[in-house]
Amino acid sequence: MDKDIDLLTMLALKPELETKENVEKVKINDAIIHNYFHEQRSTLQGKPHVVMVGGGIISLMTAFYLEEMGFRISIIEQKSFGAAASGRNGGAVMMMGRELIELPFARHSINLWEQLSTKGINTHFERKGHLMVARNDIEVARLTKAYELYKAAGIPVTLLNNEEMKSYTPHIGKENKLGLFSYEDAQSYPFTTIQSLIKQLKTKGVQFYPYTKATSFETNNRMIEGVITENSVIKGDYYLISAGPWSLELGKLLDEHISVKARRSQLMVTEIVKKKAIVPFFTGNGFYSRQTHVGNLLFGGGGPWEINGYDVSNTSYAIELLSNRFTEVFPTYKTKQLIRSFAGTVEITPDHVPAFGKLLNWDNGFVSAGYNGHGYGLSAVMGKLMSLVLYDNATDRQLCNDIKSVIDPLKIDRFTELTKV
Amino acid sequence: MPKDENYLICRCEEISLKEIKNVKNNGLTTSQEIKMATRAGMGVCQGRICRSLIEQLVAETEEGSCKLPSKLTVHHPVRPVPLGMIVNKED
Repeated sequence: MDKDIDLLTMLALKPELETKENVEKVKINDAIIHNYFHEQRSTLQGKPHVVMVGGGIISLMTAFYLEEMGFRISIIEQKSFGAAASGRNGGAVMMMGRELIELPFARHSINLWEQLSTKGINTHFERKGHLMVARNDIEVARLTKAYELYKAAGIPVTLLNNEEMKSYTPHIGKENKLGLFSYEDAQSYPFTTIQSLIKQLKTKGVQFYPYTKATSFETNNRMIEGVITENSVIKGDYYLISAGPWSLELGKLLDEHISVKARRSQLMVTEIVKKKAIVPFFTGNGFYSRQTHVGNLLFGGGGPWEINGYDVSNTSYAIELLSNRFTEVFPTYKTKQLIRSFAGTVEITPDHVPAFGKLLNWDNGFVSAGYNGHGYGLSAVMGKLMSLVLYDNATDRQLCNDIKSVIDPLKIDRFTELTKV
Repeated sequence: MPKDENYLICRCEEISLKEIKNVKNNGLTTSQEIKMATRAGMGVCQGRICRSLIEQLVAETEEGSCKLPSKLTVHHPVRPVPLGMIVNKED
């Protein structure tokens, strides 16, 4: 183990850059989102039609909440639904590790995910916590600062020593000095969540267009009037681009700069091992891991060393690197069989903040993309937020300044400045 | 192709013909989609036995499904290996 390297790659929080104001803002924004969700809204008239381009978890969740609000929905997907990163990820639904600006969104998302199970969606959602470990002095110092910030922001977290960590991960090695445990973090299973969302949305009349590529848009003045595909034109009242990294190309068709780039992220799967080997979501030493409901151990991770683009093949470099990192933390798992590897595509924005809200050139065009590898977990809250933003737009309700202060920093107008060379 | 609905297509994950027919009736058309819905092909043998059966099942009724390019992907390692065989041997 290298004593000088910080491999807390899943700790996006940079304690040195956060301020007291940012800590206070977590609580304020949490309350603003809560209030926005609970504003009185009467039944929507006329069933306005939302056409979404992109068939991943962001679209499916947005459709779920739009349907609840009374919209008619069509979803266009160039391949299979939920088959890219939405179906190929670690299943994290969590807030610890995230920057303070993301915490209010993440916290609401966990609560919404929990409710999905009661609404007939087979998520395998379990609030089993999240354990992040530090292995050297540099990591211990950074994790301790993160603990103080999260605690001040009202997130239930605690520090654990090696012995205490064993109740969550019985086979953790002695070199893992300090653990930060978050009680409210959760995990779910992408495959069943996606299939069950599709099934329920179909019964509610949502139109699905698989293997349908959007080639251009019909427009008139500041209005989008249809999505042109190889076979037809799909017309609606509102248009949402929620196609993960493919949003960049779709944006170009509308002269919009949605600055999202694709990067590969690889995951490894072991044979099924005895339950409770890794109870919470686990991060540290440059990887993340969890035990699936079936019992396989999943570990993966990406980073700047990965290639950009849509290639989802696996490399022997990543298999060796991630297996090394995993067995450094859990030495006894060297005897476990690696049965499979797979890869997904994460979407990266220049400032690691999502692209959410209105498009710039079109009054009935919106975007929800660029979630920087956190989209699966955030899909519930961002889906609900988008459903309410569209409801308010359809009913000519003005967004109050409070909620604008929370979602305006996610607008895409910032990309022009950010990507200037 | 077997007619018995309880016939096991994927032995590792114990997925029967009936379960695969159910998800097909729910609108899934490719072997990759069927894998994601049922876990067929995801067990320890990684589809070595059931891959060809699943692909036959996909092709047998759905007109046009053969045109769709999605087939079950092949992932490293080709055969399960202990993690200890992959990691650095120094220690």
